[in-house]
Amino acid sequence: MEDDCREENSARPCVRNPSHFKINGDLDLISSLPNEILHHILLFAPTNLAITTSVLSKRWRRVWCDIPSLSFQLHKTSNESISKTLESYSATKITSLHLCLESGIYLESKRNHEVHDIDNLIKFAMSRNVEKLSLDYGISSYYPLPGFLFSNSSLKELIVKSRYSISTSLCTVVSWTSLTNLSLRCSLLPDESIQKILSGSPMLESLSFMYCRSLCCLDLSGSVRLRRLTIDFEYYSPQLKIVAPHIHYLRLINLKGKCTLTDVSSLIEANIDTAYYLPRFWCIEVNPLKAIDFQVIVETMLESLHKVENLTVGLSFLQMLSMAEYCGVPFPTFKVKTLTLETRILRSMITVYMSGDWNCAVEKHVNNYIDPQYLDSDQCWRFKDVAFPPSSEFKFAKPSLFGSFMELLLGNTRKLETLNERNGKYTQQPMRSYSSLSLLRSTKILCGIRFCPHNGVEDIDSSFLAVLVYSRSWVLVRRVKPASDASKVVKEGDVIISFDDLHMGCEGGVAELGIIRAGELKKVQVILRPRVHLVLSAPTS
Amino acid sequence: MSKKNIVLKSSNGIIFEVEEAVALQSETIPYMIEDDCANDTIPLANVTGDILALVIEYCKKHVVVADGDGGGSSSSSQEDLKNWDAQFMNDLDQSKIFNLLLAADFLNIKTLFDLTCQFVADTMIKGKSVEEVRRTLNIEKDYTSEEEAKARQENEWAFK
Repeated sequence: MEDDCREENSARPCVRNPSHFKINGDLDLISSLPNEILHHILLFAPTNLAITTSVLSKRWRRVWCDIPSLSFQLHKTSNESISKTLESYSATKITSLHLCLESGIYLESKRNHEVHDIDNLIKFAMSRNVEKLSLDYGISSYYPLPGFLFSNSSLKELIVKSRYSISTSLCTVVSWTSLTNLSLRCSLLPDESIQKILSGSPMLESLSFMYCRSLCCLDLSGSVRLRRLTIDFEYYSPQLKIVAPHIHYLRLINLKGKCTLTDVSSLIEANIDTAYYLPRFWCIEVNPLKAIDFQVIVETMLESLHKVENLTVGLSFLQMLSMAEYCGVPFPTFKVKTLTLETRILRSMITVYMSGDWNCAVEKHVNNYIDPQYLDSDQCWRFKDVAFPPSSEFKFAKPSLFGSFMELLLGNTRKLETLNERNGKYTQQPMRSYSSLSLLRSTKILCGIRFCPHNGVEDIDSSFLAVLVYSRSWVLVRRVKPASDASKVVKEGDVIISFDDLHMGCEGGVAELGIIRAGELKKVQVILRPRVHLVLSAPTS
Repeated sequence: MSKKNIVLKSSNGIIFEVEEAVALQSETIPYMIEDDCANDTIPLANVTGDILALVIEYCKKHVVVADGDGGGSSSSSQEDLKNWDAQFMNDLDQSKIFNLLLAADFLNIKTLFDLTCQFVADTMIKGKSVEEVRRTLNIEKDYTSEEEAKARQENEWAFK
């Protein structure tokens, strides 16, 4: 391999031996790294930034020219300059080309010279055996995919994110002999294009569609290597028939119409969720799908998914199961090893669902992504909140409902490994901070009403060492796990009134809790919320 | 399951004994074991003791997660690991970072190599002007002003 260092007279020798470096803050350490390592560092920067390193020093003059990966943000004017710049690019193999079309670049005409500039960029990458090509169209951007793109033997991964249609009409045949990973986001993908693509990509392992309006029949029986199929809907497609006997993983998200899984006999893992429907609308004609149609969808889905080991369901799926139960139609039992529930806990989902049985054999864990932000925990709790909500269906679950739901869920769970919860996408808090407060909030909701007739609330610490009932100004220790470290310190019936000399229930502020968890002393911070309208009564001990 | 330990020796003679699973995150070490470099001790002639200690700290942290649940580690632990990585890198000075980068390259620990390279790109190059990058990395400008202007002009669009 040619060593670029030698081209410039001031270049330092490339050394790999770390002992050459002395601990000295003023030493230029980076310039003595070998080129391959510099390339790897610059892989983490966009290409235009990598190019600017050429003016750092003579050593850096041509470092960027051999970076095996290119990534460009395409503006209205820069495309021609990019082509010119690439004249000095010398890498013989391009592993990845990423093109991002800025919003508003709508290039329709084939005669447009900007189209040619982009065509040339892709051609350039293809001439150097590009393996991964990713095209990302900005809002209202369009660029017609060139015909030559559809015939290539080096491409392993192709990602096209467009808002317009993708058509293969420009070419008579598609030939992607190495392609393993295809991801298309587009509004229209004609059936014959899909068939051409599938028959031209014999190595395909992973296929993903997003927002394709036109999908109606997906016969993947010819793609014998295909293992993963992902479909995200945004539009209403009246029905979709999937024949995919070879896939192991299936993801159908935001399903809006009828989906028939004709053959998914190798399926191991599935993630299924339909679009969210308001229960009230199920019964009226506004929605093209009546309640009974949901029932049919549920049943056929369950039948096809009966062999799945790992199943992830969301809000709507639970809703549909609930609906079936509510209508008195039994739904088939299905066995899964791992059930993951990814949902916000909405009232309309729980109300009906509560009366049902958790028919799955949940053996491993429930990942519960709940959204405590939407639980109106500030309201007074009532017992009679178990009917359809009289007002808006948008209302989120009351804590009591949520509590009962969680109880039902946990009661049927043999081993709970993780119970995650999220603070909601609208909060600014970093992921880490959903520890103490939200844990307290959600877990107090967890067992809510049943254990706490006096409006106290119950809390289970995350390692189930001690079960605490707490109210605004005190914490009652309800249960202590025998032989746990907690048992040496606290006893059942203890009432904790302060942490760190900070009294519970003080208005606002942050308290530091020293807690014992899993035998380890930990400090956690609890934000004490000033506004909780609970009626306090004397603790029972 | 028997836990086998592997003994690593740094260039300045410091001995580290680590569990096999920890050491095997390096794709270089298995070859050295096969080659039977030494009976029990594997000499790493171009990694100093302080850097090797960092490498092992990293590998120990990452091995726990890898065999946690047959590969299916939960998202929270991934999150934790990410935070840990960020903290781990933040605590290092520049000389340690580049030595760690080289050690990761030599020992062929892909995740650590990516981590260090990305850290260098993110903290020392991205969002900085050419002059700032030079200052951060102590790169001596050996261009004349004309030469620099010429280099700049060649790819003017990239500097916008």
